[in-house]
Amino acid sequence: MLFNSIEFIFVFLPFTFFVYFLLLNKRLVVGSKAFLVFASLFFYSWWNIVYLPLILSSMLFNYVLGNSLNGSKYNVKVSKKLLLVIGIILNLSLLGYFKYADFFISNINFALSSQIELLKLALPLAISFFTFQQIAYLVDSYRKETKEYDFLNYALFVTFFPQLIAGPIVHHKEMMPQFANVKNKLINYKNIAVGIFIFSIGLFKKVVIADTFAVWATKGFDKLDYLSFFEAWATSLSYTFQLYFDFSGYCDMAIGAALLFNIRLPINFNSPYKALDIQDFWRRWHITLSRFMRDYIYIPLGGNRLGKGRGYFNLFIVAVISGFWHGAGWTFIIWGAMHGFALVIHRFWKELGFEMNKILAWFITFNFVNIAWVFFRAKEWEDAVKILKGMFGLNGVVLNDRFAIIFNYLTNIKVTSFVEKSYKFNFDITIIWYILITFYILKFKNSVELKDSFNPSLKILSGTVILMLISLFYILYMQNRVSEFLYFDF
Amino acid sequence: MKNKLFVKLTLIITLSILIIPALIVFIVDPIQLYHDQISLKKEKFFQQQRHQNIGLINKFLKRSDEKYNNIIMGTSMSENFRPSKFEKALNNNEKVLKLTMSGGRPLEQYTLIEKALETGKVKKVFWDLHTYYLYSKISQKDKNHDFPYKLYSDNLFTQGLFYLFNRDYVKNSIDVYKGKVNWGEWTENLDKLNFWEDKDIKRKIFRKYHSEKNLKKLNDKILNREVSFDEFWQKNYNYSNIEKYVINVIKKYPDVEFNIYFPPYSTWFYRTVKYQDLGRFLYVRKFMAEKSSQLQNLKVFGFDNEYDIVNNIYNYKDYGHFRSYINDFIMENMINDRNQLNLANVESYLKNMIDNINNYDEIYFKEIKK
Repeated sequence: MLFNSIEFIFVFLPFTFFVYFLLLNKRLVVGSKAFLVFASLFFYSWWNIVYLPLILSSMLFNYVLGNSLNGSKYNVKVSKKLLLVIGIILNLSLLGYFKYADFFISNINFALSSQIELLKLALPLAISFFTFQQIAYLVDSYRKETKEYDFLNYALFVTFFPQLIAGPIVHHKEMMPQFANVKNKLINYKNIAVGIFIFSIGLFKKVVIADTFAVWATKGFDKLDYLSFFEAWATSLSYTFQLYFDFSGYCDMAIGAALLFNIRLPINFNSPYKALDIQDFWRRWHITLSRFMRDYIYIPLGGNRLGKGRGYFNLFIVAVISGFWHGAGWTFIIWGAMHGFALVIHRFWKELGFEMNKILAWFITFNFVNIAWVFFRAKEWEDAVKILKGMFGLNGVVLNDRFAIIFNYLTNIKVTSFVEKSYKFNFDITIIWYILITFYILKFKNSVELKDSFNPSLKILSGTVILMLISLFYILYMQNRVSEFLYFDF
Repeated sequence: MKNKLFVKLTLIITLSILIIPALIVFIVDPIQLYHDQISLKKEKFFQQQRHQNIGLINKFLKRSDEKYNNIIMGTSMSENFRPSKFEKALNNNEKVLKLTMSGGRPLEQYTLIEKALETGKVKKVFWDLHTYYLYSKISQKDKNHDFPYKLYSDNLFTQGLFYLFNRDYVKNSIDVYKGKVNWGEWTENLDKLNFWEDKDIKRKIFRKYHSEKNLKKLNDKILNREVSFDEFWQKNYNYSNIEKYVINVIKKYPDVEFNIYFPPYSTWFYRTVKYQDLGRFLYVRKFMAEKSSQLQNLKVFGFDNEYDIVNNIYNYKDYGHFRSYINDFIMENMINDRNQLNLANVESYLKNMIDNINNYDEIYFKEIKK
């Protein structure tokens, strides 16, 4: 069930909300929590119930192991370090088996010309997220930084539906106290109002903005074999915007939905495209992932404490791991490596004490991120090359008819006008979107800032209603169509 | 403003506005799914057959008190039937409803006829058995028409969500209410709903083979062919689409009379079609004749030996789509039980058909004044 689906918005969310607070109203605190876990598992199983046992057993295993490591409930005589290592290996193996097995098999097949059959497993939903969350929990239990958690609270920490399938990657330290806090058991209209407000922003971002850009991005990446300069830039920028609005919209909806239950999820995005350098970008983009990478990979690897060279290496390798976490493919690894290089160069630059003009800094950062996304989105290496060739002008510049007349004199340097077949983007509309969106991204407060300064007023009310209405019209009315009318084509 | 008021107002205003377009569709009901159409002008019918047909079933078979006891099913081959002519020929004060679909695939037609027959009102079905039924691997979806299965759902919620919350129907509802519709998609004439001959005569499509040049092109495509009766007569083709989507329905409704006919394609078609397909086309006549001997409520009709029809390309706009007077002829025959195929006559029927195919070496175009 996606947050932007009819069943989630009109059935699941209201029903879960009402039953949860009804149970709390009857003072059934444990019952209400159990219900929320049940509802979250139902939410999880909506796609495919096959993997329900997987998440349940993973949860149970990590809970027991965590308590053993913490030493609070079970006293075990085995070395705790060994236990932790086994725990992490098992968690990673599960992820490895489901997410990466085919990647390794196909690479072995390629390298050794072998014919090992692919497993073709469907990726269990949310496995990347709950694996990381629980590894963090195990490590902190080993460090004795966890408290004695109740199993129901733990189950809720892992499964709580707003964050279950696409993050934010929540940390037990920020979630457990909230689940235990008595104040959070009462209906809080402030939270509901803010929740609805930010949910409507997220919904609009996802349904109206991201899905519009998705059409153009898909066209360029998946459907066209050949892209000219403008088409390639339109494609890559479309994806850059699509990804941001999709993911941050989804996180806004998660934050909003969680707030209805008085739970504050950590922010995951803070206007990343406003970043002036690549380090700044990673402090603003998928913040909870960066946090995990820093605390559980970069710092344990020694961070920058073991000398400059090692520091650079650590920075680079963490970025590559982050890339690989995003997807089992070479394009993701390349994307991670590109960011790794950029981070290393940036640190080097900083150490030299250089400064850069802000506009230039933004321009370089944004374009680097944009170009790197090409690898992130491309299904194959060839797709990325296809887009990049166009972006760097290797396929020539093809102008819209109207502009072509004005720039007619440019024909001798390979600038030609659109021929009918290559007219793949409606440039007038696309350009308006780009200008509006760039302006919005750079100039406006982001949803988190808006949320923090929320104050119910007529203006905010109208804004919320408009965003909600447009998005819901898209969801409800725009999906169903009478198929294109074709006059008796037998 | 207090938070509680903010929450209430947001939800109330959003939901109230959101429901308005759906309410408009419900009130106007352009395809008459729930009730008769509300419009400032004359009642209109949607030419998207797959959509309109469920509305017609609900209006005429479910809600109407009139004796709509007969339905015409099938594909483009049956679209040129006129219900009014059927009613006149039946001459029993019963009404006829046409529920044809261009390119109607077996599963689509099955979904449709089930809806029609479960009303309990239908006594007779007139139905063509077009090429789609002859192959087992035929796609059940016509790529040009997306069959709206949700409209045919028994689940009112699913149906309503598709119909009421549909931007095209919102627009259609407003248009239909005002009476200012796209006339390419709507018509006021139920009797000629999806009747395509007029349009094709206007577009001179039937005159295509009038020219010597085009006629020569057709003649050039004719393959040398000597079809052997004995060769295919012993073959045992499997027609899973007919078993599944036709015979099952006939068995399920023993009180309904099924009149099934094979559209008379031009003989040119049988001289150009792949040889392995030809056997399938011929054998199905034997297959259905056998079925009719087993099923009391099934009558099967064939017109392939009406040589004035099948050998004269004047009657066709392509390999098999014929003029409406041939539909009239088929109608008369079905109503009067003529040209029926049964176990006793199917062998000689097929021998004659094969003789005609084998002897058909040149196409002719002979204008018929009607």
